[in-house]
Parts: sequence; structure tokens; C-alpha cells
Amino acid sequence: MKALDLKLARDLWRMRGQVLAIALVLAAASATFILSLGVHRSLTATRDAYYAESAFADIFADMTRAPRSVTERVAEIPGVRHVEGSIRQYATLDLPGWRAPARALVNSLGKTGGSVLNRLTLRAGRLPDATHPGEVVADEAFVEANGLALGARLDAVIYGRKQPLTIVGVGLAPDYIYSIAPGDLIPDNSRFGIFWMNEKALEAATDRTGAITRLALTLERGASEADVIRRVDALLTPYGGTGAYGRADHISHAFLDNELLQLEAMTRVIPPVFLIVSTFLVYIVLGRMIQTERSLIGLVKAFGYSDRAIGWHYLKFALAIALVATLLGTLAGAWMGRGMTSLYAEYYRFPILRYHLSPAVIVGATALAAASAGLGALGGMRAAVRLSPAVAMAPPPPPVYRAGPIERLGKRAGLSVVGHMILRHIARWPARSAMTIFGVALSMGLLFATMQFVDSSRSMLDSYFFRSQRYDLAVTFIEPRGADAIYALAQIPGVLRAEPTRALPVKLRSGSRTERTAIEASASGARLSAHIDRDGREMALPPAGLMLSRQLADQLGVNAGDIVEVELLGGRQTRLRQPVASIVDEFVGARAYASAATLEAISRDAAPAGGAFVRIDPAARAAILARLKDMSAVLGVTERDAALLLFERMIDDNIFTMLFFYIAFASAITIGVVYNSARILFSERAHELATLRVLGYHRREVGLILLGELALLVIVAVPLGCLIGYAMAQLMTAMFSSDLFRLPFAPARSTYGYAALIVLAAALATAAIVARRILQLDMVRVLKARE
Amino acid sequence: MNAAVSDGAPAFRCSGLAKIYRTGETEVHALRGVDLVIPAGEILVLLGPSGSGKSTLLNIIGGLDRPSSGTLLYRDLDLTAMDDRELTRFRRADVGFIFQFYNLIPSLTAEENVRLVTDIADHPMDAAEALGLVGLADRRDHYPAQLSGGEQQRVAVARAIAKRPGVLLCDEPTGALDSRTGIRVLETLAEANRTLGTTVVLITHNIGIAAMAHRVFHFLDGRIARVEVNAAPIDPAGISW
Repeated sequence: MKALDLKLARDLWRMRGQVLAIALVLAAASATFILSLGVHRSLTATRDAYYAESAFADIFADMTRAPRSVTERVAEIPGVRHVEGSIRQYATLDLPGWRAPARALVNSLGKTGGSVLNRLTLRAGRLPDATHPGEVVADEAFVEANGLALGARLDAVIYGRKQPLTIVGVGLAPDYIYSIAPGDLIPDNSRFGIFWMNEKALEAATDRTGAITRLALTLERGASEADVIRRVDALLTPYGGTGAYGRADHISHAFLDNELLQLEAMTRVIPPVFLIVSTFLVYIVLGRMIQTERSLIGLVKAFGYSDRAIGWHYLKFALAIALVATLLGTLAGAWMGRGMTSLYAEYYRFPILRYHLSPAVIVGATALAAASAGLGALGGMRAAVRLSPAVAMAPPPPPVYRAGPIERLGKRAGLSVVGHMILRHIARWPARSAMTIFGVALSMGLLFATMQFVDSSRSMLDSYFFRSQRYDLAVTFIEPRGADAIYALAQIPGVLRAEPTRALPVKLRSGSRTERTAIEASASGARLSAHIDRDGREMALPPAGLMLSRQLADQLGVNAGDIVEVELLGGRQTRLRQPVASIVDEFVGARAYASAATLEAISRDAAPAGGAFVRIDPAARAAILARLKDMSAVLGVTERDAALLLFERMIDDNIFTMLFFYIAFASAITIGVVYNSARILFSERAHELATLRVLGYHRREVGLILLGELALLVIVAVPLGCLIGYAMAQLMTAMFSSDLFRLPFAPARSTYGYAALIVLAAALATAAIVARRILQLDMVRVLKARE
Repeated sequence: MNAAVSDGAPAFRCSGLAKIYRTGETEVHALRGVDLVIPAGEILVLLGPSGSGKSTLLNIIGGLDRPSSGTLLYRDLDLTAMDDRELTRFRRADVGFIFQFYNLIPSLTAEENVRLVTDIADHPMDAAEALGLVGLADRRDHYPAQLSGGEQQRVAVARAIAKRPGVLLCDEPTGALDSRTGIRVLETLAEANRTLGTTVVLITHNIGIAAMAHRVFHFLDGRIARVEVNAAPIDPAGISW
């Protein structure tokens, strides 16, 4: 080993505390990068492979009923590669011991027991036998959530007829990677299942022999999706087609896409914060190191070492830190990536979802760490290279202190001598002081920005479950029903109020933009649901015209006062124009609302109800649920409290787990910044501190001088951290919002406090570690040497 | 006049004082049993080659270091029995230090450097008064970097005497100064001894300075080889080197 490299190795060991503190911050950058990009890539690769292997369709269309032969006509549309027709039918399920009715979406399986598109993957058991009409394959999540085994029997009401079913297989399909019941906010696998049944059996059960209710098709390469959708719609309109849609509007695909979008946002926002701080830290630590090694640099240059060799020597110091960081970060990132992937596997059902850490991701993380550390080393390297040997070997000129403006303020405030020492030292090294403040502020900002996701979720939960949904049960009918169905619900003992709900599938159009959605209506005088604006205001339904959610209005590019074209789906070729009366800034989805009267006018019918909101006497819950189970008109019941519980569990499981890591990571920044600042401060001031000890200052008093400067910088960083956190949180909220969710930006005041407390605690603990060095301060030795 | 001088009582008494430094396997005997009485109100000079134990003794009697064995009394206080807090209190109340390299705080002006001590002492003089005693009243607002070496050392002297210490411990106070400036510093030390009755213990390599002392202790190999009593100490102005 060359002598300089030996020095490098010993320097790294001697400064191991500081090296490790920087490496931890840089490791957080690598870890979050490897975590988010690694999971993103794993999820994308898994999805793409699964889509290809199971022939996930490009376009989907639902209709009331069409002859199977319509598939041949669709196949003739230019650009269509494969078409497949099937039957999809909702069924209510009844298992002994179940309290509430559960729902299943039953899909038909082609004649050969399989299908061409959206192919079923069997996880266990076998496909249904054509000679046994009651056999079904159930989706894995449903089977697991209900603790069912192969051979389990349950009763289902399909198309109004009760039928015993036997689960003979467990399966997965690419169109149900994420399965969520219509109208639900998060999946409840115990109450909503996906079933696959023999085609003939389902035809018979639904009186649809020779007919289909769903089309799936794939496109030729280069075909226009919009063109094909338009032609498919034209073909299906007579059969009650509700509008074909591409993958982007496919619920399972959209949720998965949303997740990938959030991972991408994480990759873009979080690692850079750590990288910036690491650059600062390398800059100040290496800067100080070169300052203390001045005479040594001069000596080595006098021996004949080139500027390049000396620059490279210090660059290697920075790169060694990057290497340590990459190792730590890769291990931590891969470990967390595996954990996060298995968390995803609970919600997203793939045949195999494994975290795969590709070499490219590691190379990327290494390059980022090296660039960050190298950039930080540049300043110090330049100083080392510029030093001429003669100048370097002479002692450095004494630092010049001057009374600045802050200083004059301090004088007026009657600051003690020690206070002056602190202020003047800060002013003497403004860049380093600013970096310390900025680093701690960034740490707090990151903490705040991640912690406020809890507030955001809670606010969404509060708005959605407590202010918007004022019912206890949401009942879905098998098919739209008249007022008698609502009356029947209201008559159940214990039901306090029942209100009809209606959703009319439409396409809204403005200029060249089209969105598929449903116009939702509640009866006039409805009390069980409300529309809550982002700032908590309750928005009444307009007497005329539509109320659009902000999301939908943005997608259509319209505002209140504009006119949109409404096209009714489901078989009626009606187009009319409606004004946008108001916009409600909601959190969930792209939705449209109208009063019952407006909807009646649009649909020109007697406004049958698709379901009902029900308020009940809690004591009668069990009895009411039992009655609903037996009502043939009822397809499903969503219990608000159960959904709320699921939502809360999701926050606890996912957000709090993530939060734990981010608190650790953000604390790493504070620890890294404070530790290095304190060590540099200590090394610069050891002489002064020893002098004060000799003069009769107690250890505690001397410690306060050392920590006072840090404390002042950290305290200044807190308000700045609030500002940075506020901006970062807004950015992240916006980046995390998608077509499915708009996260509310609603940080609680206490979150600022918690973020500040965590930062202060981390700073205090770190400073205390450095302050312990005051105990070892050797007064005699320090005073023997000229500083 | 200081009480310590009027009753002629000793400021320090030590017997059998030894100090062993251990570095790894090796033991260095810095002091090998020193018996010594330092009368209050006198000027003492410690002479001897490097490594003879002068600085170790100075550090121990100043409460910066502890002996490995032996007894050490300052007036009635047993310094060997004191813990770190008590030693710090002892330094704060009774000891003024002056070093070869001044050890001023570069971020504080001359006056503020003196105030570092007057802020924590029991009966200090005013910082401005202390600077006046060393002839630097007009330079009170200057930072150390704006002062000459001699001026910096006089600020250090002002800082040391401002608390009216019982004892001034000086380790090579003129070592970094030219003779004219050095004598100026010695004069202020003599002045403090005369007017405040402060006991002055001074380490030097410069034999000439011994002429201003009441007593001279010659150190060799961690022991006092010889003690000279000077019946007629001369004024520092009469010294030259």
C-alpha cells in the first residue's frame, strides 16, 4: 500500500464517527432510491410479464346482453387482434356464520375451460367440471380472507336464483390483480370475491344462453385505441353497451398504475434530499480536514507529490464514504424493498411478486452516491490543490473577527461574553453555519412532509366517513328498483331512514375531451350523504345542471358555468347539453352529481334506484343484516364501520410502517449534520474550551458554549424546516394524487410540533455524545501547543 | 496588603509529591518526590532543563493535574483530596494563569477576554481597571489579531490579575517575546506582586529572570536539586537578555 493510501485508511478510521455519520445520510439516499426504484421496477416487470403471459386485454366493454355473434363483428374492426366475449354477473353469497351478505363477481370460463384473453391462473385445485354446474374457481384473496378450503360450499343468489356452489379451485387473473367492490374505497376481500364458472353453467344461471355481457379485446400493434373504442361503442349501443374503455380506465390496472406513480414520485423527491445534505456534509468535513492538514499538504507537495495526486487523495476519502454508504444503503434498501413488496402482494395479487434488485438499480444508486460525495469534495480538493507548499507550511493566519450587524444587535441586547463568542463564531463561518441550518431544516421538512400523510389520510377519512357518509349501510340492488324497494327497506324493524341512490352511466364531453363516468343523484332532502369540499364546506346539489368533482372538471378542462355534452350509456343514444353548475373539490375519484330531478330530466325515466343509504338503530344491526341477506333484491351491503376499520388498518399497517423508516432516515440527516458540525466545532474550539477550563469554567459551562452555537443553529432551523416541510408536503401531496385519489393537504398543527420535537431530540442526543468529549479535554496538552 | 503576606504563612506546602505518566507500556516519572514550601506574597522562579518537572509541578499546584502520590496543601485546602468540581472552583477563585502562547480567545476583544474572568470571579476588579494596570486601557476594543505579541501577553496578564488571585502561575510568559516586551510583561507581574500581594510562581529557561525572584528552585530529573534565596530581588527593568 502506498503511504498516502495508508494515511487515507488511517484517516477514515480516525474519523470513523464523522465518516459513519455522513455515510448514514448517504445510505438513506441509496436505501430510498433502491427501495422505491427497485419496487417500481419489480412491480412493473412483474405486471408486464403477467399481462403478456396471461393475455391481458387492451379494451373492455360491458353491456346488458348481446348475442355471442357480436364478437365476430367486433373482430372485423380494423386494428383488433383478438376478441373474446364472456358473461359477468354479480351474485350475493351466503356462508353459514357470515353476518353480512357478501358479493361475488362471477365470470364465465370458455368452452375448453379456459379463455384466450385475461387467462385464469390456477393456484390450487382444478377448473370447474362442465358436468357439475355448481363448481367455481374463487380468487385467492377471497379464499384466504375467509379461511376457505378447496371443497368449501356456499350458497349464492345468481340472477335472483339461489344456487349452491362448491369451490374447486383457487385462481388469479390479470384483470383482477386489484379487486375492489364497486363503490368501495379500499378492498375488502372477505366481503367481495371474484369467481369463475363454467360458461354453460353461467349462461343457464343467468338466462343468457348464446349471449354475452362483456367483451375483451386486444389491439394490433399501432392500432388506435380511441378509434376502436368508438367503433365498438357503435356496435354495442343496441345491446345496452355502457361504453368501451382502455386499460387506463380499467379499475385494477388504474390502481396499480396509481401505485407505480406514487413510487415514481417517491424516487424523485426523497433521495435528492439526502443527496443534497450528503454533499454539504462532505464539503464541510473535508474542508475542515484540509484546513487542519495544511502543513502536511505543504510538506507532501514539497516532497514532489503532484497537485493531481493530492486532489485524488481527498477525492478518494469522499468516494470511500460513498462506498460505505452504498453498501449500507443497498442492504437496507433491499431489505425494505422486500418488505414493501410483500405488503403490496397483499393488495395486488400476482402469481409471483418478488422484489428483484436489478444490477442497474444498484449501479444507479452507487453513481448517485459517488456523485454526491464527489461534488462535496470538489471545494476541499480545489483548496488543497491551490495551496502552495511554502504558504502551506507556515501557520495559517489567525482568524479575523469583526463586529457585524448581528453582533451590534447582541451588544444592544446585553449579551454575555460567551454569547458574543457564539455569535461571532457563527458569523465567522457563515457558509458552514448556513449549511448546518439548512441541513437540519431539510431533515425537519422531510419529517414533516412524510408525517403529514397521516393527517392527510385522517382528513380524508374524516371527510369521507364522518362528514360525507352519514349512513350505516349502503345497500346495492341487483338491478334498479322503484320506490317500493326503498319502502321495503324502511319497513325493516330498526331501520331509521332509507334514501334511494342512483347512478346513471354517461360519457361527458367537452371539446375533444371525453370521460366515462356516472352521474350520481340522491333524493331531494337527502340527509344520509353530503358532498364535502376540500376546505370542509358542505356543497348542496345544484337545482339545475351538474356538480363535478374537481378531478373530473380538470380532466374535462371545464369550470363552473361551462357546458358539457352528456351522452347516456347503456343502450340509449341520447345526447344532451348540461351546464356545469358547481365544482366540488373532493378527494376520491372523478365523479359527477346532479339532483334527482335533474337526473330524471336527463334520463327521461322514473328514476329507479340502484341502491339505498340506510341509517339504523345500532342495536338492531345483526337482525337487519340477516333480513337484508334474505332479500332477493339486495346484491350487497357495505357497512360503513367495517370499511372505516379497514381504512384505519391500512393507515396503521402501511403509513405507520413507512413513517417509522422515514423518521429514522430524517433523523439520520439531523444526526449526520449535528454530529459533524459538533465535531468540527469541537476541533476548532478545543483550544478555547481548554483555556476556559483553566480559567475556572466548569465543564457544564464549557459544554454550553460548545452546544450553545449548535443549539442556536438548530433553533433557527426549526421555522425554516416548517417552511420547507410545508412546500415539500404540498409537492408530495400533488405528486401522490392520481385519477383515483386526490390527497387532501391538511397538516395538523401538532405535526409541525412533532417534527420539531423529533429533530430537536435527535440533535440533542447527538450533541450530548460530542459534548462528552469535554470530559476528556486535556487542558495541559492543549495549552502547551500553539493553536 | 494581602492577608497571606502579612502573616507570612505559606501559600503552598507539598511533600513527597510524585507524578508518573503512563503511556502504554512505558512509565515516565515526571516528579520524583518534591518537598516544597512556597511562602505567600513571594516571587518564585523555577529553573531547569526541559523535562525536569517544572511544568508538571506548576500544573499540579494550579489544579490542572493531580499528583500520583504525596500531599499538597494550598493554605488549609488539601488539593489532593479535591474532585474535579472543587479543583475548578479553586482555579476560578484563587489562581491566575499566564502561558507562553497567551491563549486569548480570538473572537473576543481585549476587554471581553478579561471579562471572561471577571464575569465568574467573586471579587474581581473592573475589566477596564485590569487593562489599565497593564497599560492597555486604550486598546480594550481590539481583537487579539489586532494586537502585538507583547500586548496580547499583557492582556493575558490583565485577565489573570483581574480576579485578584492568591497566586499567579506563569509558564514561560516571556518565551515568545523579545526582551524589551518581555521585561514589560515581567514588570506587570512584579507590580501585581507588590500591590496585590499575589504569590507569583514563574517558569523560565532564562536565568536572567531569576534575579527578580525571592527564591529560585533549580529542577533536575523530577526533583528540586537546589534552592537559592535571593535577599535583594531586583526590579525587572534591571534585567536584560
